[in-house]
Amino acid sequence: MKHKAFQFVITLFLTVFSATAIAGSGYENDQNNKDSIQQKKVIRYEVFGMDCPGCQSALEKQVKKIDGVSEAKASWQKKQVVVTLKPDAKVKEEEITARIKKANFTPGEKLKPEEDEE
Amino acid sequence: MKNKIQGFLLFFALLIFIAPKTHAEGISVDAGLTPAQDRIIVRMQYRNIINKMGDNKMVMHMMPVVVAYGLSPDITLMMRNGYRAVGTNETMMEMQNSWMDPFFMGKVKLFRHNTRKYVFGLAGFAGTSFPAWNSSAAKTYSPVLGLNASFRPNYWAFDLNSAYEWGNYHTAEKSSEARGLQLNLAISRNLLIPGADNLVFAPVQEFSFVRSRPQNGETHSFGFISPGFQVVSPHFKFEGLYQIPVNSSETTGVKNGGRLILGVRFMF
Repeated sequence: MKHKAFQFVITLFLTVFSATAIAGSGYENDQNNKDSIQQKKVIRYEVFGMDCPGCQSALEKQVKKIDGVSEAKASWQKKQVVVTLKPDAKVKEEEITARIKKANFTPGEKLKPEEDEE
Repeated sequence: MKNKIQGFLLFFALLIFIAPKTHAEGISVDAGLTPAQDRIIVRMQYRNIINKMGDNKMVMHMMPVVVAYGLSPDITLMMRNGYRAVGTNETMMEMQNSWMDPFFMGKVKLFRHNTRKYVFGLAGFAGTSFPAWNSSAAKTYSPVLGLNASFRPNYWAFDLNSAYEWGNYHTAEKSSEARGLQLNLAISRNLLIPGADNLVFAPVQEFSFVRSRPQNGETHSFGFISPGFQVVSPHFKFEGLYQIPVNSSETTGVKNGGRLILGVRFMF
């Protein structure tokens, strides 16, 4: 009887411990996912000087050279470039404006990212 | 004939004024401002040239290739070469199929002002052809100095290219020495293609003026009025132009006929 009670306590302890561990790890995963979404940073700049689709690709090529940039999408019609950074990347804004200038364009104001980019 | 001209003018006016937007550079000349740093542009063209001597016709097929590289935002290097094939030659002029002399050029940004409403810029260039082949056309250099001015308000583009060439500068073995002034104005407007965000169609109208001054002979001025178009995508351009000669006479021996230019540009 004593042996059965001991077995029950051990089983209960292991079950609770396992459940807590699984639940905990799930929470941790959720937290990690949340962090990585938060770390995906999008920067939007106004750019002057683009006047055709060819200008877009020239600007994108320059901005993608920055270490830490995962994606760059320029629009000659909207006169802007959207820069997506890699998680944990630290990119100085001066680096981005310098690259815009190397493409022979002029950086304007830094704009707020649109809702679907955040 | 009158109806055809009216139809053409109406069609061109429609392209220019009714559709809302687009732009392009000169097609017959290497116009434009300095491109981005590390930009590589490869341009291949086919030019069908018809010249006349009296009732005799000479048809040539030129295939120039241009490679340009943006060394920095301010300096562009350019190399041009091409192949000339002689089609029909009813004239007495001796003309053979051959590679043209290679031409090297440097372009420097002098000024560029980018605003929300327009872009205005100036670029100077200097270049020369080299007598690299045994079959070289002139066995000498032909230096060129020039200036590009670009004004691009919204979807319009006005590109003025001026160049002064010292043809056969040094010792001319095959061709006579000559000086030449070339002015080229290209006007275009970007037209958006519905459903294609990264594609524009740009009707182009060029006006060219050439003043040729041979060392021995009479100075001659002529020009071309050239309607054309460009289709522009982020990495590719397709272009076409037809040059209609104006004031071309046979004072220099050869009278210009119409010239067709078709080309592609790849931008990396």
